[in-house]
Amino acid sequence: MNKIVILCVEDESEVRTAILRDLKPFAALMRIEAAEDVEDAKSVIRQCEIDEDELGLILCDHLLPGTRGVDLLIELQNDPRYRPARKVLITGQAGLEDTVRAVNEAQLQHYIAKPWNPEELQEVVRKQLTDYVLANRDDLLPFVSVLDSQRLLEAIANQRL
Amino acid sequence: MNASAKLFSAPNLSDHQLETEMIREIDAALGTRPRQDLPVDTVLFTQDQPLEKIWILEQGKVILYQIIDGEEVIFHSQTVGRILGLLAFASQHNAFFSCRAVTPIRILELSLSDLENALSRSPGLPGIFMMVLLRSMARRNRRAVELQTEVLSLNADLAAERDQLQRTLEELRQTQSLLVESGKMATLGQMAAGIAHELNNPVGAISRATDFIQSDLHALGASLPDGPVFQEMLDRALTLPPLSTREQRAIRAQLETETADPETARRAADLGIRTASELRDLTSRLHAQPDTPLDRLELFHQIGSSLRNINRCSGRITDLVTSLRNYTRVDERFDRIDIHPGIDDTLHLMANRLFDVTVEKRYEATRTPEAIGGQLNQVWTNIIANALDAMGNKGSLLIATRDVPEGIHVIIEDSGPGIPPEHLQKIFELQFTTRKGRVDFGLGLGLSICRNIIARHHGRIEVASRPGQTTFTIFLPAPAPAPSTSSKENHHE
Repeated sequence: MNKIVILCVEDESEVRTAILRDLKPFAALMRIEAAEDVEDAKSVIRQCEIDEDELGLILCDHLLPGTRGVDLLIELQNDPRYRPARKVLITGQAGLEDTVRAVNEAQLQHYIAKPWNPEELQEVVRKQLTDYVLANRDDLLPFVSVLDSQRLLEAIANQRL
Repeated sequence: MNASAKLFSAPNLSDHQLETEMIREIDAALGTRPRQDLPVDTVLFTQDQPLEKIWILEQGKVILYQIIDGEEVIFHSQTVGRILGLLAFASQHNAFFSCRAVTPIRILELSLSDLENALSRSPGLPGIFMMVLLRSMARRNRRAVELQTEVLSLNADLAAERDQLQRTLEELRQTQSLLVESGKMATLGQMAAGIAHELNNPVGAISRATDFIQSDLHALGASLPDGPVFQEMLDRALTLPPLSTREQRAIRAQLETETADPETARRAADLGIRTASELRDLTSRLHAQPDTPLDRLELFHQIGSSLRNINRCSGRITDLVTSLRNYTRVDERFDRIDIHPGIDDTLHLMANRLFDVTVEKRYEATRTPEAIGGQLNQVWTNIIANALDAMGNKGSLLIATRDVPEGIHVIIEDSGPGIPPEHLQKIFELQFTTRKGRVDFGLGLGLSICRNIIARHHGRIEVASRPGQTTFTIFLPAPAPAPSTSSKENHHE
């Protein structure tokens, strides 16, 4: 199938529902998945692998029961299969130490503080996914309608040169 | 002279008799010299001054003193003796003391040659003179020893006083830190209480507003063509317990096999629809355009689930506000209280640190101690915060209460690394030792505050620790439940 997956890891169902709803503009092109803890997130990622879909963006809360969000991001960064995935922390409770680890060890691309603003969230997701498809996809045209059309069209023009 | 012959064999001769004898011998040798009568406060000689004569004190009293740091210090008054100035004179030193009359005095003044003449002319005088001098020296020597002893005992007193002062100062410092700390707590408490109060109204209004929207939507639904489906979707979203993401995926997988349409399966599962027939039933009842029934169901569902989320979240805020208000009660009165709600409020407010902590509660105490609830909350907070610090916010926490003779026990036990035995006795003391800029584990103000509060409640706090288990046991006196409602206990605070 080869869809790009956006994975949202958030343990509180009310917050998760709200984030997922804010991600709806991307639902037409992407596969949007949710997980409530790190273990759950890993089984979602395995399932995507089976379905031959690829993890493009992970939006991860930090304070999760059991393993912390930052540790999941670091683990994914250390796995060549998921290194290309864009990694965003969306949290109210990551201390400085954990945030520094996320930046240094997980190449964290963005940090969104809770409570989040939906436009900001969508803008961040749009930019990160645009980066992702520019780096990982040859056929950019399908994404023009949903992602950053200007950057994508420029890239398409350059491809034809 | 027969007195001089028996000087050493007649030690029962009194000082006065000896002195009278001496003066008589001097008079006999030199001829009776005129005496000088001097008023009180006459200074015969002063410290450090060279002396060219000696004085025989015939009547009255003088003192020998020194001026030390501007103060007159008396060395001899009873122990002066009758011969003044001879020591300095004989040893060619300046006067060691100053000498002043404290009564009117009568003296006989002698120059060195006078004295030498008298001693050579009167065969009995040298013996008597020597005896008088010896006795005088002996008295002064005894006095010197007494003074030395006095100095030693004064020094001991001073040292004791200094230690006492040191302790008092230390206690003052502790009291000051505790006051500062409790002042901070009081300020924080007032602020928290203020915030809780301010939050109460808006959150109450939010709760009511969601109720209103809910009933208005039901009313609106009744007038819509899709009303029954709308109301059903709304209620479903409002009342269904939220599914875990795992359950949701399982339902989606089930639907996918039934419908063979992953997109529809995913969307339907998100709406809480569990089977293909349920989906068919709902869509068949819609009057909407046949190609968008899922959009319509989704819309209905989202309204309900948003309302439900507002309700749940405002409920959580209400609970927090309630805990905060209970916790920060600024009452200073002793009341018979059930301690358990206070412990629960404390845990509730520390929830962010209990994320990875298994909390086990065993509340068995039925007695109600006479206590200030707000202060006990500080005790629970400090002990639990210490436990969480020690455990790195990860591990297990047991909170048990039980009735014991004369009161209750509150036991707070953590699975942390334990307190080293050498620290165990000191943890309730104020210590400002910090490590890496942080107050050292267990040695901050917290436990010292606990000890003070528990003492105010006439209770006891004890700690036992080994690696993996640290147990704080707090005893609070509490009367056994009254056998009948009319009986009254006597409490003292």
